[in-house]
Amino acid sequence: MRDEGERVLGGSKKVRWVFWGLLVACLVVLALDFLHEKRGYVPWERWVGFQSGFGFLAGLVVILLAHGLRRLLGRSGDYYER
Amino acid sequence: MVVLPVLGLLQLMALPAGASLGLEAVGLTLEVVRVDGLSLLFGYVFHLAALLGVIFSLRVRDLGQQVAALVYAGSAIGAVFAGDLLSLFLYWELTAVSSVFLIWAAREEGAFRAGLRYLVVQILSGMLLLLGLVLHYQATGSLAFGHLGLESPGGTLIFLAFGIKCAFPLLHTWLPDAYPRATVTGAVFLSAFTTKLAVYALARGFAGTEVLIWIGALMAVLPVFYAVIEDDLRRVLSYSLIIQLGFMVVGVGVGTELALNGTAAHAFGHVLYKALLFMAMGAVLQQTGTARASELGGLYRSMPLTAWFCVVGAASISAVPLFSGFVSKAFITSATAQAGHHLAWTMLLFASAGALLYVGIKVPYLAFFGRDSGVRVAEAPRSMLVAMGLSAVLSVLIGVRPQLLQLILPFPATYDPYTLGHILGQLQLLLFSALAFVIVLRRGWYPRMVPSTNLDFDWIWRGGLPRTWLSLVRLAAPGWRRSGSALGTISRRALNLLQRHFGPRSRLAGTWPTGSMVLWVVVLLALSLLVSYF
Repeated sequence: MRDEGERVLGGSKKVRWVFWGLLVACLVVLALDFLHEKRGYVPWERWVGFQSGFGFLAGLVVILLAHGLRRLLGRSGDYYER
Repeated sequence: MVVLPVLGLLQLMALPAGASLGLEAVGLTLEVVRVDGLSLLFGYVFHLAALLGVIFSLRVRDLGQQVAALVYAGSAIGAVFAGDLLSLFLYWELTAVSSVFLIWAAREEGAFRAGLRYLVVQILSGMLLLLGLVLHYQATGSLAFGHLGLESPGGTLIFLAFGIKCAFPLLHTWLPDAYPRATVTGAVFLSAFTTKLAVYALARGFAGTEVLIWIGALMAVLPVFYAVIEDDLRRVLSYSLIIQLGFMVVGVGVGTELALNGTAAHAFGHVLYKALLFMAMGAVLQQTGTARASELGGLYRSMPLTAWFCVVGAASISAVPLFSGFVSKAFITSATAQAGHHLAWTMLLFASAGALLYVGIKVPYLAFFGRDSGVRVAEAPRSMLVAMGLSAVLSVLIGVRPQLLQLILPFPATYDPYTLGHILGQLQLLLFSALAFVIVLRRGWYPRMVPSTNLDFDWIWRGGLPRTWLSLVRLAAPGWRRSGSALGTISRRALNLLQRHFGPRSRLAGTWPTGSMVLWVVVLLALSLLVSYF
């Protein structure tokens, strides 16, 4: 499993750079969120860091569910031709 | 071929708002052309899509395909300007019949069957529309295509007809089935017209229908999961089309002026960047022979321009600030929030994150960047690059200067998405979900891309029912063959009799001399004369 991921990612030095850059950008944006006065029609939109947490969770949740979905729905490429 | 959409566009711009062309035919009053803000916007973007598609397919030598594409574009344009249901119906069917050729032109067994399935579904949609409009006419005496609503006579049927073409959940399977099997250039045209026509029709006939909010929310969320596990990148794009349609449908459901403006703006932008994405993947398909993630990777070395255009398209669909998707999605989501639909708003937010990761990042990354598959090909031909470039420029233009789009939006309601709060919120969403994605990739949690078929709702009639039928037949067959029973013998004798008289080698199937045909016609006429006399 770990192997596959690194192969897909292609080139770990570049990837590490992207990862840390991304992390820094995330922290900056989150910090700005603390400083900024939030307004919104939806009650939970006003929580600090809502979009951050939601985005992060969404990313993970989709992957988890997708694994299950693949096991449930995945068939061979010529399934309908047999 | 390039001239046609340009001329059409010029003519369109010369049309005054409120113009109308009436026609009296078969005792009905038809309004064949009705020009207003909503139809003009769709008219403009359809012309643009036709122009971009034509430039993209400039080198295609298949005349049938080119003709089909133009007829398809033209009938979609005709449909958005139709002022009455019957004209709409005629153009509606014409879009179905012309677009199927873009699938069949791929000339493969799978494409042939997918085209047939596609045609059946589209014609079904047309039949429902016809039934609905007949009921409507009988009850109200008018064929005018205005706001209908579910409660109006024939309303539900028409709603379903629109819903099929708009890929409502459970009615959607034709889209990911047929679009990836279309030709390289055909898919670009397909992505633009049918579905946006359906969105226009919903906006015209069912604005404010609350069930649409939920339908749209489901449409936005469910395909995300399919997009994750799908290997064929053009099918990923098809599922992402449904996601974006979901946003538009929610906008129609909310029904406020801001929401409808959002739907219109989103449709406009979406036609452009979806065409761009299909163009990029089409170019990849043409140059490398495949569009499967499992077989691609590292293409930016060979196709750098295509890669960057694809990135622009991906950024637009992910609603990155400065690209068109950011503006139009903001309209819809804020209108949804303002109208108090908090749950739907949250679902749309989820869909935004999902669309970013499993379309916006996945498609360009797995095709062009990421692991190097070793595939080295030539860059796409210039005509394709020009088309992609134009689409990319337009997408960015709308993103940085949304006021331009505001000029053609049907209503004056507006929303400025470039506020610190909104930009910050969107950046948080995008960056943190991207972070999650990178973590998932590094830890190897991402589902492997392998060629596979992922079962969708159409398994019922493509898999379940046929297999059940075949098993039943197989169970019954030995018994049937072996039966000395009267039923068996009688049916076998009957079949032989029919075969002898009506089968391929029978007298009735053979050619008959004209003289004897004339004789029989005279005999029949004489008989009918006698019968009617008595």
